[in-house]
Amino acid sequence: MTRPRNVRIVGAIVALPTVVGIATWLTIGSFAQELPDPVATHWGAGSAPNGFSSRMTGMLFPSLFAPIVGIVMGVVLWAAFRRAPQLRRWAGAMSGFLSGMIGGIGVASLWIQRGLTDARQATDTGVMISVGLAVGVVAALAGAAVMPGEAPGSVLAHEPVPGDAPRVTLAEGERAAWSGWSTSTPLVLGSLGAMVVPLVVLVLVGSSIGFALGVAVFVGLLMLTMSAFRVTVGANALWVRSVVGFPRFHTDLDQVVEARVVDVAPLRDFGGWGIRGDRHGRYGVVLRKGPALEVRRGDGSRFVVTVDDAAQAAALLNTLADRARTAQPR
Amino acid sequence: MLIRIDVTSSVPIFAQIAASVRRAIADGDLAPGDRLASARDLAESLDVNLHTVLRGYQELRDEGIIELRRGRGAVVTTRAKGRAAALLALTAYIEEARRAGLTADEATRLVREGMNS
Repeated sequence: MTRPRNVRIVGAIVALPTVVGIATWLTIGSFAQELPDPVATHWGAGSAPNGFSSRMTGMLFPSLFAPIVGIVMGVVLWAAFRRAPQLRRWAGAMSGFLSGMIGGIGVASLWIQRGLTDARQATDTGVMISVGLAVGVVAALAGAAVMPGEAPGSVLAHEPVPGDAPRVTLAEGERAAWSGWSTSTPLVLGSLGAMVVPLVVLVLVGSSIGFALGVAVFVGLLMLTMSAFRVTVGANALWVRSVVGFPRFHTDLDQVVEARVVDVAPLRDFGGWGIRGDRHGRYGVVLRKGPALEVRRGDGSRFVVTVDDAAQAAALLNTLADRARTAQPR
Repeated sequence: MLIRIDVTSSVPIFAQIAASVRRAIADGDLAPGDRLASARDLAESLDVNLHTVLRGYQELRDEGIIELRRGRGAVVTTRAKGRAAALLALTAYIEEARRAGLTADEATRLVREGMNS
């Protein structure tokens, strides 16, 4: 059980970036004869190249830089999320995204210089970021797929919910559902601001409006996915879903050992805001300071979500978890 | 927002859902501008039919307590709190009137007289 999982972990954060590096090298090699020497390796404002290096360096740099950055990022995130099973796939995704983006930009930046006698003529920079993002997203999906998620069954709670945990009174035939929002006004405003910045910068640099708009929407959506989450406690699970639908987390009632209200200080406890994990196996959606719902799960991990009225959510979750235990005795 | 229903009760489930929302608004758990859980989420959470929840939401909309907007879901209106409180008081009044043996006509007449005075 553990061995194939370990193979997949190494596959996602070491093998995948390495494959991206080799693919970068081979792809560039296939058209290397057509490249000028030196090649342009850096572009300034107005899409004019302002940095050059020998053809060999220009080929080697992205081929080595892509896997190194991918592996370092993967290992760092893996270490951070090791005990947060629901976040592990992010380590694979980020590792894939960074190596793919760097490799993609590297290949595209040389591809546009084919057949040129002088690298100073290479000015078609728009394609570089598009190719980089596209390759990055594909590699991120691959990384997330290779990285193993939660081992089914390992999260199940085996003990009853502690007697002193908060509860609500529910009669025999009664059902209850709780829902609330986990949001951060600064982050929502920030995501709107984050849309304006690339828009202004790209238009100033001379990119087409369409491309600038595309990047702005992409960045804005990316930020927005992280700044507002709907939290639901219901018939069979606790759901935490982004307004955009992804990312989302769910914990089945039979995985809940206990739910409580805790006080969270994002900077002190998690080093910042967003989807966060700490070194003690505590992780979740941390968007503001104050009361949060904390759910201890069968595998010992603790899932946290900052939400208003966490007390009611915790009480209902414990009550429903009690029910789930008695409904199917194990 | 906590929504409770009792499947063994004789009160229809859609009416129980509407009553739960009214209570949450009257108690201040829900404020004007707040969004209710989407009908689909709530149906899934309570393990009831989607149309049951939608019927409950439609009742709240007809009472002016929420607005239903395509894409934005159900939003609590600015006048919701007063209306929800009045409707809760009305429910309590009807129960008392029933217990006291008043007929529907008598109870209605008392309300009309009270409002006209």
